[in-house]
Amino acid sequence: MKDFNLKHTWTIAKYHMLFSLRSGGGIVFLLMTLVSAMVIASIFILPVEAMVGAGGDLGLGNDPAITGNIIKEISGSSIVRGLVNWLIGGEGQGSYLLNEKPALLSCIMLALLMLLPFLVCFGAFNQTTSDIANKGLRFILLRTERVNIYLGRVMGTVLFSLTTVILIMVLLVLYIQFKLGIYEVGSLWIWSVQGGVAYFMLSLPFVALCAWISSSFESPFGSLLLCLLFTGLPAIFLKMLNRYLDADFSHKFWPTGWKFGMLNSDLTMVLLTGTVLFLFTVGFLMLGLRSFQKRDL
Amino acid sequence: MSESTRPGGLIALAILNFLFGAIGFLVVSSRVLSLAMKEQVIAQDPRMEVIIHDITVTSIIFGTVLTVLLIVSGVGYLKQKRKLGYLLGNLTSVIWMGYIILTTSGFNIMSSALFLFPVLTLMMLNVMFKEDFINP
Repeated sequence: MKDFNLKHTWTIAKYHMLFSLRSGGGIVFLLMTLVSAMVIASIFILPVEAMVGAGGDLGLGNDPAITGNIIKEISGSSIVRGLVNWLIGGEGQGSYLLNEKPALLSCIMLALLMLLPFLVCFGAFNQTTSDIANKGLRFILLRTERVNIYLGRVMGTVLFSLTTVILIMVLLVLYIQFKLGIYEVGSLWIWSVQGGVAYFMLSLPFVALCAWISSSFESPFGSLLLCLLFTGLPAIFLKMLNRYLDADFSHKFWPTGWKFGMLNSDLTMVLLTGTVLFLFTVGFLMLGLRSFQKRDL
Repeated sequence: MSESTRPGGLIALAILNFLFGAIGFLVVSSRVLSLAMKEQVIAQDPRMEVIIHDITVTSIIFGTVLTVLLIVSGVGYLKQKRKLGYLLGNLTSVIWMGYIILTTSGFNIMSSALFLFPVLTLMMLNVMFKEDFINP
């Protein structure tokens, strides 16, 4: 780490972020993430829009207050609350997410958080793989150290993911605010910021994991497959271990086990989740950097 | 600039154009078939009348033009041609947006999702890849 140079790292990050948009993977990631977010959002929003439309047809007018009350009725039901409690694995969290916060946005955010680790793989699988394969990194190595290249690429990928997350949240909130108009503007935006932070924090360890895998392989396709496998398989294995041991902590040994923690009502839990996700990120970064420092470029 | 320096993003856009072109071909074919077999379909299931009623000749013509444009502009991207790729790509995106407005009833979250690809294409062609169409 003694060769670390922030100026070099930042320059590499900036160019990697811009280059992401020129590369096929970047465009596919952007389009896939945006389309997935819109499809998930439509699953929750279309029925609400149908309710608003039906209200208009019945002569009740398109009053957002009526629709808001219907959503409150649905989200207040014990079945829906129980479902969210089961999903998050915390008693009382269903009530917090559905009654105290904008329920529609909470549901969309929960669904997106489940999908996010896999989407991140599409944007992060090719941080160094292609350049290792075509020996392109040798030219950059004349000007800077390996640590700056590695951390610069990771930082660029994180910035690219962050931009995509911000774009998704802004699109969703603007749509809910202006088209449906069922929530108070302030609470909607504050909750969306917390959701954005949750996405960002959850994406960090997976970007670092993909950076590690990406620096260990010379085939972009192989790297993508392994990124997807290492994102999903440990989570499934640890869930099965939970069943086998009759425990409820095994899944916490992988970042996916903390995916909903940033939306918790308890501030201590939010801080703990943030710390754990950060530690996972640092761990994956150290392992990846160690492998990148030693490998033949 | 040789073909090996063609940006990966342009190849991705071309592949997506071919993909959407193929989907467009299937959609247009099914619409033509539905319209041609209107009587038989409605005789079998009267509820289908509502769906078939929405299919107009204009939307079929629009869809056919769009499908052809998507595929031709995709070839233009790959060959990095200014007219066939850049100009036709821009035109295709504008026609696509018109097609969405024509065929979807009202603005909703799904129709806004359909706008994503043409808007992204317009942005990419005019900001990222503007200088990459080096052939006339």
